[in-house]
Amino acid sequence: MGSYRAHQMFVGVLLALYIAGGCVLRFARDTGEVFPVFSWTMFCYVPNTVTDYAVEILELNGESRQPPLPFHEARGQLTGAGVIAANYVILKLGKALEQGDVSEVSSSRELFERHYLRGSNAPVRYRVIRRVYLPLEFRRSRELIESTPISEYVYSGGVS
Amino acid sequence: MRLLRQVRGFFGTRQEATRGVFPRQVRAFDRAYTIVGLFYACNLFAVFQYMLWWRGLSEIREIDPLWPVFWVPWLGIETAVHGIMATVVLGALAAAFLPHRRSARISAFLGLFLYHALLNSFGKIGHAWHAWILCALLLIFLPDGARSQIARSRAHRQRYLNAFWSAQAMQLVFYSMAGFHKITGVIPQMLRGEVHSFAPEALSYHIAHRLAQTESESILGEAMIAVPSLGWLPFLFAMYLQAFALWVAFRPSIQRPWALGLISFHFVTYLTMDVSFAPSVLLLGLFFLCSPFAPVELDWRRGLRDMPLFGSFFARWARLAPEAV
Repeated sequence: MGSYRAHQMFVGVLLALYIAGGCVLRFARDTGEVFPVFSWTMFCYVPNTVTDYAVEILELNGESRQPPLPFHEARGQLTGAGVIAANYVILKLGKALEQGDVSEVSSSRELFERHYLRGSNAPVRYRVIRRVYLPLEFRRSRELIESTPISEYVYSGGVS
Repeated sequence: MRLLRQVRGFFGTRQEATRGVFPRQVRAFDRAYTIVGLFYACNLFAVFQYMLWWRGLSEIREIDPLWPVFWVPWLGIETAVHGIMATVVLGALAAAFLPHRRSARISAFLGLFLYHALLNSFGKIGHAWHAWILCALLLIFLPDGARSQIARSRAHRQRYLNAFWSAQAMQLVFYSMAGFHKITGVIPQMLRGEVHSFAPEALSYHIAHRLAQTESESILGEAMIAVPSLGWLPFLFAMYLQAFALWVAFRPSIQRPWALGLISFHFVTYLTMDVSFAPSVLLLGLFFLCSPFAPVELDWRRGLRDMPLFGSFFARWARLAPEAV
């Protein structure tokens, strides 16, 4: 029975540590996690007015896009379009651009371009924008409160 | 030991009748042992699915490695991917064939851990497999031995059930944390006069935001956005199910219905937000719908009485007499 009790205590401590770790990470890290410990802060704040970053494609497969094509609408043409992980990299890139964090810009851009921006048969010209919107209004009418281009790039490495 | 008793007292309700406790333990052990075998068989199925990504992963040129796979760029992505895939496949095969051997269960966990660390090294950590990975970790602590060996000793059976219970509890901890964070998030938003999680339109805001992130569509999302109050009660109910999930670990009578509720929550999340937690559905099915601790027959009276927060209200309302100890 001794080893059973010790195991019971061990399990209790492990669960308590996970909960404590998750709570600390909620405030200690932007992402709220150190894999595989996570704060489980999913959908805990209702997004009222959203400020985020997005990518718009200006040139794809040798064709200029006017108006610019939202990155995620290039499904079937670019590897990361419609992929939620690509969106997180875009958010990181946008934030780093606004904060002037050169090394984060470089690493996020490299990851985004080499992993999510492949599939075009010609160089891809794109821009990162900062956008402000109300989620319900945006979904109903695609109306943005504000859209500000913050950087423009050309990626030629992923040409297929 | 007093602390453990106090924890049980806080989360649990009136103890089960002590009559027939040993036959119940034997039956629970038998079921738990079978479920562990099933878990590793399902794990093998999942790992077979992972193989579809093997080639694609080995062709990757850029990675933002998480700490468990920090060494991947040094070794070379292609070589590392082959190594990790071989580890996850061999570990899954070993544990599916020998679930009673700790070494096999360790290798299964190691493979899963490395594989998912690799898969999450592209800018975002997905959470659908977290519960699965941590279950594999906690099942390492099952006592070693064949069914008949463990079944001989009451202490061994209890230790086996305890390890099994820990895997159950870990899954429920995740839901409770998610639920409580949603509830605590209400206060600052309410103070700012914003739409918060208790507001009728909360779910429609979440859906609209989630779908806007990737310009996605979902089967029920547009309807929820068009009529925001449609999602009010389901969202409140989901928060209740999540927040009080941990209580269920201590109340076997409601494990099966609670699992059904949480599985339904995952269905709705997919149908509205296009967010899939398929591994959690399978885990809830294995560990809770088939729970070795749940009563054989569904006792709705007991279930209502054991509901967290509302149990005593239901007991009074339905005039349910307390069960004799």
